[in-house]
Amino acid sequence: MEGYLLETVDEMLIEKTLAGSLECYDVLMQRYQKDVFAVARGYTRSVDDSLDVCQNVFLKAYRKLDTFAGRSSFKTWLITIANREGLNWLRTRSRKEPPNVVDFDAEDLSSGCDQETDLLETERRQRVVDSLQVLNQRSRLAVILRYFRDMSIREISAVLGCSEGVTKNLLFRSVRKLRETVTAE
Amino acid sequence: MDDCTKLFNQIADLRLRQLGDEDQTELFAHLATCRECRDLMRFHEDLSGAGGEFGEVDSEALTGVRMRVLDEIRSTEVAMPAVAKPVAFWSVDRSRLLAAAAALFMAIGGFAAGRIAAGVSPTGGDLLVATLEDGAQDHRRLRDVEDSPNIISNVAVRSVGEGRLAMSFDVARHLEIERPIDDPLVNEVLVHAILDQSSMGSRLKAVSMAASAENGKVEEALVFSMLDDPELPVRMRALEILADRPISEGVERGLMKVLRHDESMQMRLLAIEVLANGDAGGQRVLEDFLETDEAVEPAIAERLASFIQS
Repeated sequence: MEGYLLETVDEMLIEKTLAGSLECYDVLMQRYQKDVFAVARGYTRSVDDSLDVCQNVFLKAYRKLDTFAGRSSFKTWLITIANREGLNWLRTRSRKEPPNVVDFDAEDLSSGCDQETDLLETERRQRVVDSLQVLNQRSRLAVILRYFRDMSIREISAVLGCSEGVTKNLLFRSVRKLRETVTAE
Repeated sequence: MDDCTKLFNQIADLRLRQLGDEDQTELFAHLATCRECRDLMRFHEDLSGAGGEFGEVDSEALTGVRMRVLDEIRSTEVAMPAVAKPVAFWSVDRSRLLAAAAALFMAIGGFAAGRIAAGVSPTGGDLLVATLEDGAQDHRRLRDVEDSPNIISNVAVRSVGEGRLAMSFDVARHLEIERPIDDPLVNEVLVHAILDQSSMGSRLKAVSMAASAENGKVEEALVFSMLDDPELPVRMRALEILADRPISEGVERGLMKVLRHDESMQMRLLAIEVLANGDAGGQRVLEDFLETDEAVEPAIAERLASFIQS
């Protein structure tokens, strides 16, 4: 991959992707893969499932790229697709399995921690991650985007399709609920 | 919104270094007096720390995802060019197209379209560049450039140092020809016209003219047009043209996609009609659709039922 592409703005990469450059689409995917993965992770039971959702998101985005009108940022558009794809994943699974309880694998978080302090830290983080189960999908998405992917209130509002005030309140209530859950354990 | 709610968001902004000096002062003043918010701030730190690992995934796994996506795009478009976007069609066939264009350019004095950039076959690219170089040497005035039969557009330029520029651009040349309807070049140009997003009028005309062209790629272009053209009149015309032909497997698949996904009810009803009036295979496909698809709209269900019963 040519280095200059990594610094090219999204709009230019989109234009070149539409003109046939898969290399440019790869740069776009690389740029937002962690955001998409984090959203997928909020819906799925395992890393493998999250990766499958990511794959679907990127394929869908590519096939719909010519409909991207630039009214929001590409990142917001992509995360909206990821959110929808996550919901689809849940619907598909709910037909085959019991109602979804997001079960984050403790091994994902504890691998590689040898020292006791690391272990305690990991356990605390695990409790926080586990507590995400108490939130509904919309609240969980808002928390993931804000705290795990550092997205702005404006960007999250665009993804959720609501005002910034509503997003702020949603986050406030969600974090308070998470904290109560973790503290109660 | 009460103070704690307002300051809660400032805590998050502080973490992201997005909080102004004045707001920081206000926040710290509040934290000094509010134990609840101090606890909340600590929880914010825990939450952010957990986030680092929550979204953590082996970078090779993500690379694998990207590779699979790219492979899927490539394989889908090679296998089913009819359902690919026009741009994707160009991307797949670009080098081959350029080579063909260059050969054609030599033979009849020229048509070429495509980017002179990485990926161009050496012969096609070199020939095009040589032709443009000749023109560039002959052109002395602005008018010469404006009158040039070669149209250069979509130019991207970057400096590569040592007084050199790297350029990437599209080249097109206007031609007029007259050939029989079954001439390969006529079919080729018709396909391009069907995919040309710049003019709905020429797409509509090209779709209508393609009615008498018996050619696999023309049929694929018509299916593409029926499925993906942004304008309803063009999609509708493509469907009508395809309806007058024997329904191939690819067309049948396309009609089912129309039935499932086209935003126009008129298109969906027409697709049912064409499938139902086709061979027995079409009827069977409709029956399957009625049985398996969850959300069939009443109008569609009614039309399907009427055709299936008859």
